[in-house]
Amino acid sequence: MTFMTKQTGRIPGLVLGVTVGAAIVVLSLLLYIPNGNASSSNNVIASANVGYLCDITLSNTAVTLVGTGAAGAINPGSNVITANLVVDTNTNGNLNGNLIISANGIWYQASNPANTMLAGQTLWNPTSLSSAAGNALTTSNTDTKISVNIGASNDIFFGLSAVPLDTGAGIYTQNVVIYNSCPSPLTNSIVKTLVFTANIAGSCGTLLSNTAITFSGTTGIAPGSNVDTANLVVDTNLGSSTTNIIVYGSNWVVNSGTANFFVTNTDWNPTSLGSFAGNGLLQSPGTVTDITIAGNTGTAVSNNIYFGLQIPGGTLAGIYTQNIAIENSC
Amino acid sequence: MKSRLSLLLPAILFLAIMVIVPLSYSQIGEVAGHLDFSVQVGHNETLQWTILNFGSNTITVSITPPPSLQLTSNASTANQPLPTYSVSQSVVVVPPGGSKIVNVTVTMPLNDTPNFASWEGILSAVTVSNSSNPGGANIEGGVAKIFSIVAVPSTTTTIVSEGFSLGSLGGTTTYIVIGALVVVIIAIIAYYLLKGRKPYAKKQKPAPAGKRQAQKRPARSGRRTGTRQRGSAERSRLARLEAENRKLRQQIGRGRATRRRTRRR
Repeated sequence: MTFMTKQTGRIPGLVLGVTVGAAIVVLSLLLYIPNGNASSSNNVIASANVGYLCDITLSNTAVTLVGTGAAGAINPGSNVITANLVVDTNTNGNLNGNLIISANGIWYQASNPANTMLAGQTLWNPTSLSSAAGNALTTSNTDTKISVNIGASNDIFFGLSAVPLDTGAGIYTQNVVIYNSCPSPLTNSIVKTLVFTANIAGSCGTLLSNTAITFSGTTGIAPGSNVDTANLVVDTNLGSSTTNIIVYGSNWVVNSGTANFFVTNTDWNPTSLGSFAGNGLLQSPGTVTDITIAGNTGTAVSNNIYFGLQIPGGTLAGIYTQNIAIENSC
Repeated sequence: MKSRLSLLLPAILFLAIMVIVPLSYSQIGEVAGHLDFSVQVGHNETLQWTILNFGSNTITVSITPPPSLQLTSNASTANQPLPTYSVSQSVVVVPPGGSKIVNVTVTMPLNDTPNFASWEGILSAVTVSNSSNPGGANIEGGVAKIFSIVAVPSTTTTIVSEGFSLGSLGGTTTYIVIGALVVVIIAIIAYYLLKGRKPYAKKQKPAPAGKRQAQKRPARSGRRTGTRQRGSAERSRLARLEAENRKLRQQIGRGRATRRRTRRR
């Protein structure tokens, strides 16, 4: 009985011990089994493969180049200093890169395709300049060596070299491609486009076929006689804008002495005449004629003006000289 | 021989010799666009005229303002002084392919009526020729710039000094200045006039308390007299009362003298 009693006391302890041991084993198994296997029936495995990105954010996507002409126009022969700022920020990229730029073509005028400017008129530089200097843009990708690190920004400045004198007037546009480089062979770059605009003023110019007129050769002209209004001067307009011819002259003056006769004894006319006729030449400021010359749109345009002369009766013999000015006005 | 020369001589009356033609021609140009001046009366305005050189050689250009302006409006120019104009340079040297700026300044007299008359002129830029021409016509190439002028109202009170004389008075601004001076003078005079009345007020010493009560101004119906300041009407009334008092005292004095003389008798 005692044994049984002892045995009876041992049995509850043994049961307790076994129970605790089993619980420990079960709990251990639950803790140490890998989640995947243990919960293969309840969890989703997610994975992501994050790639490389060369990002670019620009402070502005449009650049207007302003000159010193009327209403901000850029005069022919003038330039724009390399001080127009664009800020490049590597906002979301995870690679450091260099700024790459290229011109997506030449400067063009939407309203007149014949008017263009070279792509290289556009200048760029890493720092602001007080003159139109720096690097000429090309249509090939150019590594500016301007580094744009992750989360950082850097500057690039633009200008315009001297506009050719015969550039047609109007508003020009150029598209420039810009992006931050990615290390090769990675090419995942965000590409942006900068739109440049420039308003070019017009111009006109004068090129004359001759700088003198002889009315009589070496034989002389008798007083009271005339020379037909058929002595030609060809006036060529070198600029891009239509021009009017303005003409005036001085009195005829003898080379030695004080004799003279009036400027109005010289006539001018838009067409050649078979006699002395036309319009009397006047002194400065002269006459705004109806003779116009169109602008240079690739081929220079010319027009003619003719001169004649009459000698007043009683004019003293001698060698006389007159100055005639032919001016284009636009 | 002499007779042959005498016959030939009349025929040789005018000689124009073939001139030496220079090998190079100047290619002068300008930026397009008129110069339109809208000048405030009594002020000036400056615009730029850009000269170009299309050629490959440096050119020397002579700049000449017009000898006079031409009226382009139908307005009568009576009492409308002509604007004056000038250029910053009379000669410019333009490099090949380059440009040079000439400043053109127009000054509008103070007496011009805004938006009334308008004028026009032609500026001339001619290349200086270095050719030798003993006869014939020298042809000079150049460019011309037409400019227009109109007067507009002044937006400031600044006046371009033109000297001051009574004979030249005119213009809105001048009248405003004169009006302001007149107002100031009137104010000064009024101030001293009012100040001059103060000694009269000082002579009127306040009456003793008892008499002050007797002299209390009768109350006016429906109106409170709380203010101590007396108007000119009140001062006049007091003056009259004083005068009456003096008369009464004189009469009283005479009456006493009469009674004394009567008693002595």
